[in-house]
Amino acid sequence: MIFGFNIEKIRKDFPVLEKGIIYFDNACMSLKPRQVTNKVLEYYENYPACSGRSAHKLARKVDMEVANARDEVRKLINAGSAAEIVFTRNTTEGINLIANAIGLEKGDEVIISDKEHNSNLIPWLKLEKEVGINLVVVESNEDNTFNLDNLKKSFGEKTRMVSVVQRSNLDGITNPIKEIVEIAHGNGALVLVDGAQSVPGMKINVRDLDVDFLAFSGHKMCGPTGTGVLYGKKELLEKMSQFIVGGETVVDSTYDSYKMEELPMKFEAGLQNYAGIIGLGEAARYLRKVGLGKIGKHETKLNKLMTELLADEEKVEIIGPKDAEKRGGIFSFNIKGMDPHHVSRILSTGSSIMTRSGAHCVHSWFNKKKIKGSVRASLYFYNTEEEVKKFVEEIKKIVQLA
Amino acid sequence: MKLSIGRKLKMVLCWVALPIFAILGIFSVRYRKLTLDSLDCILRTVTLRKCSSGLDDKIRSDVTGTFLKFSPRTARFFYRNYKIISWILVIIFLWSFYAGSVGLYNYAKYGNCNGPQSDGFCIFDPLGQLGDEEAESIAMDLGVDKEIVKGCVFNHTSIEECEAHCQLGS
Repeated sequence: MIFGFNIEKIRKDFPVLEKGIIYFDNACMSLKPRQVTNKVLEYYENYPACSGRSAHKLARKVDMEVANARDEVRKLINAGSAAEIVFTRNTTEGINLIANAIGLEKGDEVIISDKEHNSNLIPWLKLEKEVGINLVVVESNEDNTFNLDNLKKSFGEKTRMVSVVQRSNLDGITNPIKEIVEIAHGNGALVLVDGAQSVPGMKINVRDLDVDFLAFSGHKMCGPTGTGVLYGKKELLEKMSQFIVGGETVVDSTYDSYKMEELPMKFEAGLQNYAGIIGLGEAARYLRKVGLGKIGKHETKLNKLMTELLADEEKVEIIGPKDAEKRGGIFSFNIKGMDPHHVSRILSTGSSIMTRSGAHCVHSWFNKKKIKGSVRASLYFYNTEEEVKKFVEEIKKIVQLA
Repeated sequence: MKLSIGRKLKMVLCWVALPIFAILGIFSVRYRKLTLDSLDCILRTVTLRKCSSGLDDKIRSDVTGTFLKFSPRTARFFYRNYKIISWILVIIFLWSFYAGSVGLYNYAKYGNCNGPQSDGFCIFDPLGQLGDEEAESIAMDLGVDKEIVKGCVFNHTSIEECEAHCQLGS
């Protein structure tokens, strides 16, 4: 037992870990436990039918499994109703849905932070270009933490939305969402949270945070690829217009009109990724079983160890605060004199350690800082102290190359 | 983006990689992608632009990573001297390309890749068979038929042995 849960038992759920790899690219994509892949396979082998259309018993089984999955996801983030859970393909689609269906008009303002993933930047830039909204970027503190004072100063008369990341994929810093929501609501703006990195490793309570929308992906939280969730307050989702329309989004249609489906189906157009959705439900159940609080603590503990062991290496420059407690499970760094892509490939070829290199889809921040990119080691609950020590050992060798 | 001459010259390994990947690409899709990357890299290098595929960087990192497993000192040497090692490989490649072309020319013209009157080993002719022109010249010297000379060389290890054999009237 390490840090309060049996890591050896957990690791047995992830077959790929038996192949002798060290997987530190969890911020991009988590590994999938057998429980999730078995559930996906179960759909294909036992009830590979449509949901919400046909009346036969296989279809009814799919209906039930999808409903269960929706409820598992609802419980994961403590939403009030399953109708508030809209299945999407990923976080990007969730954010695009809000950006396009909330009804922003020319002159409306949207506030984002200066560390947003392209998924929470490009949809707004597109609207700025095509609709004429104004995008306001809040600058972070020197150590990359969120600056609430800058946020307060950013509101204008026509601010309609604050769209921010909860935990940055760049440096792992968790933004003070509760305070951001209070400030935004106080200024009459809605809040959309990008939870792609936070939901997989933090206890999230959307009702307590009072966020209006939360978008996150399945593939970063042990779920299948091509799955995601958009949470929205029921009254807001009901008022919103549809984004993608077609099959399943209407209850009836004539040649000149149609009657919209109820929530959440009005936003789930066309035949859905049932295998993925059912797998996502299983992933949510799996994470709750492991314990999201424990996952967060474990990630931070490993990050602290990594930071401590590399503290003496002058050539290793960490992106974000030196205090690992503030960086969750992300250790983003550069080795002076070396290209981050070189470091990442050497780690992969030389010791089968998987990390990510580059701008991590936060090009805007790297361009502003005039940094080419970084190497990112992102930890998750199945990673171990031994893996961290091996990583540190390899980094120390690579430092000598520069 | 402005690139230094050194950076432009660093991308030379694509020249070596292209023919290797092109041959491997016949058998594997993976190498076809790498062949295209090498080609793109060459086209960009000759027009003094940055090689956008990053092929040189990938090769440099992968080879360094492989060395690092066994010998960190070798890995460090390779990583730090990559540019010069690339140039050495390119020079070896160009030299072997030249030597191969000359050998091919000699083989086509004289039936031996080492030139006329040579009995050295020829990769294109491992059994030591003579080309028409050379066989005819030897046959004229010996006053025998060209086909006898060709058959004779096939059965003997050198032209000298063959000459002696023919002169004995076999």
